[in-house]
Amino acid sequence: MKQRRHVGALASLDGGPLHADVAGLAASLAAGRLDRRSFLRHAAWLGTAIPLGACGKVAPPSNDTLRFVCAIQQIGDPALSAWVEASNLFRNSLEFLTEVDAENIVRPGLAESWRPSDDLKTWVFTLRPGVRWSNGDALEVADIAYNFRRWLAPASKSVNRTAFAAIERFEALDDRRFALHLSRPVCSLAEQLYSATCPILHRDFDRLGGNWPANPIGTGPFRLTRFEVGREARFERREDYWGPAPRLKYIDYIDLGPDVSTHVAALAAGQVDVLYRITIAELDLVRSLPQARLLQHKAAWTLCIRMKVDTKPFDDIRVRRAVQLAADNAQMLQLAYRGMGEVADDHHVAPFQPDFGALPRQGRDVAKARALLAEAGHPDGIDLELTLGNTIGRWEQDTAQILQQNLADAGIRVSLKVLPPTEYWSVWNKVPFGLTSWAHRPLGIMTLDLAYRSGSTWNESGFADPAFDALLDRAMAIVDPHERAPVMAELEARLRDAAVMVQPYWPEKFTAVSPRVRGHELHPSDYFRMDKVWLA
Amino acid sequence: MKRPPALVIGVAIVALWLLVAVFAPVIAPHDPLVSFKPLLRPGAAAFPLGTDLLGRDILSRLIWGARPVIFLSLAATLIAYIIGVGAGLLAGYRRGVLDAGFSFIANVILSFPVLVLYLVVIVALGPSYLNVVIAVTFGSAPAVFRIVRAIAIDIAGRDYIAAAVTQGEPTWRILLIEILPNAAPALAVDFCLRLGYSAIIIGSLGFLGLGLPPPAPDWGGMVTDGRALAFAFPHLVIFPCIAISSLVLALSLIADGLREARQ
Repeated sequence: MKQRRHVGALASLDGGPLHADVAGLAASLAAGRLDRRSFLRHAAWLGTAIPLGACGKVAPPSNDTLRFVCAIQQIGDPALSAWVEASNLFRNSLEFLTEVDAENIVRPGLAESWRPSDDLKTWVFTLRPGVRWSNGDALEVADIAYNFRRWLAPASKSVNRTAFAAIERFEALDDRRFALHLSRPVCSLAEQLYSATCPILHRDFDRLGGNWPANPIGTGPFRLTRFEVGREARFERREDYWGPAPRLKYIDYIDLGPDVSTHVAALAAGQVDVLYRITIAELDLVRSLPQARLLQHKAAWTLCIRMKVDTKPFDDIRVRRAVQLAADNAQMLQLAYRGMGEVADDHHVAPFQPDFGALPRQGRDVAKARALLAEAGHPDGIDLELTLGNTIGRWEQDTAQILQQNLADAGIRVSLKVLPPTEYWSVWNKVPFGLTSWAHRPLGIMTLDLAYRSGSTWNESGFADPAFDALLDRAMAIVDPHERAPVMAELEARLRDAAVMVQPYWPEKFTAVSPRVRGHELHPSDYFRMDKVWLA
Repeated sequence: MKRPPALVIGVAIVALWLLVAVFAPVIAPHDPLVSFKPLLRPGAAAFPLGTDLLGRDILSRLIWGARPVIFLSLAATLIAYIIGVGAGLLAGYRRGVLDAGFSFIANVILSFPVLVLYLVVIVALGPSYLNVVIAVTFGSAPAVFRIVRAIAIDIAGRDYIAAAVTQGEPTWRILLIEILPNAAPALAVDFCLRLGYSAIIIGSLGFLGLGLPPPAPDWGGMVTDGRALAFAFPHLVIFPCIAISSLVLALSLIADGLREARQ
């Protein structure tokens, strides 16, 4: 009865019948195995329309300029972008087939609806009518086909080639509809289409030089009018935008360098309105400033102190296990991040991600670490060099210093090689022992697929395990997170037992805005849309 | 003869820091790399100057931090002096092509803003004890060269140098026995000042994140680590700042005292 009530209140995005698996999700909800938010998130994957929450007061379009502090990085081809900051810039002008809101619920984007087949291997998308590019062209299925073709081409360097490896064929059905045919079921496809590297580019992108800032054609609410790497970028409202008009006239992105305390000082002086991010070090300062409003969010972003499994001495699992066992994750959280987050367990799936499979925690065992080292031929300990770049703040270095102390207890002598952030990104997947920051992904399965599938573009540890890959495929075919959890637990255990990393904790995320800023939410992936933001 | 008070105070402070540096393993109450409770304020018996963000004893880090700043400044300044004095004496005495060549190289190096020069060297070589010494030496040696060259040109024209040449004394002897001792008083003053500059530079490199690699206790690095929290926990930056200032001030006092004594 309860189950029928949940399903009865819902409709699909295309007006057709609900997907067969929605009833199963509703049963899990009714049985208390799934909370309401998880139910909505998973139903949305299957093309179910999720009603929007109540909106507060919304301001009319104004001539205001919002000033946003953020690194201005080289963009070039957005499908190759490895920086979330860069995606926040082009997200003003480029749109995605779907959109994931701050609650991690998938909403229609350029696609007004999608319908997966019962076996989740064929997905039919319908484009919104009336969408126009900033050069006046209409958005067509040909644009979408063009994007999928370049993502999936054998020579593609985009991470999308790995993320969408299951797509076998793109089929244009008519003027507004297309189908994606998959080799294996993937339940989260709609959500993955909002990844930072998936903006829809105009079909002539490559013909016009393949450099987006030079030819910033987009379907989005703003147009790029100025772009200077390392300095500033300006977006101006498109008066001919196909959707609701944005409130702001201009958005100025300003690069104030990597020192976050300078950003906070600029906010305190009223020179800027929004900061991209603050770190734990600035938290107390921001709390004390009347000119700053703190935004705080729990997110599945983290630091992975990973070892390259095909490089000496980490090709010996005993050395990797010793590193893992000597690390004190709780102490790293407590000292380097002042306890503001959750302790992690070296498998890169967060306990608060909906598909987390619970595992007994792996404790610290220094004696065992020493024994393993001796067994691996290092009875007098071992010298290692850990490379890092403080890419998201000096707390990376602080974490590394605590790890250094932890490992010393087991005779592992670590020296730290601290590179400038940009330099680190040129070696992040090459150094034998590196500390890399990983952005939030709504689902654990998405992270595992990107970072640990054999041969994937972003697999920085070189981990390769066919059994793990097969489990990944299995997990990606299960819609109900409750049913997926046992498979996830197997994946997590397999990854943790392979000892490819120390993944110490899940830090909370903070930023600060001026009290005048309205409508700006801290998105867990840092994917900001500025068209609903205004200044009071 | 009464010693100038500035000299006495300066020597006392530098001697104190030298003793602290030499006996750091004995007098530091804790291991400077080990974490205890983070952000303790000064005053506790076990941690009189408090602890830093990672829970390390600030007093112990200051004591151990005296070692790199003193020894690296000394090493960098001494090497800069060996290079600068050698090249300056030769160029000032011999003049000609040698002088033009050395002067050109020195002018090129000195034409760069000094901090940019240090940054370029450290970024190119990577932060380490040795590379900090190389960077500071690279920046200081041309300045020493200029001073010594000017003194050597002045002294080389004097009658007793002409007499030494007439007697057939070898060049090395003229440089080291006739010219250098006469330049020594001025160089001693400059040496003390330059030692102070080197200490500031090493602190600045640490502050910019280009000093000693973590977790080495580095006074400049301690200021950087504590800067973001300074408004709530001022002890994180005040003590390392006092340490740097006291050392540099003491070296300046010694230089002033030497100048006064000379006059």
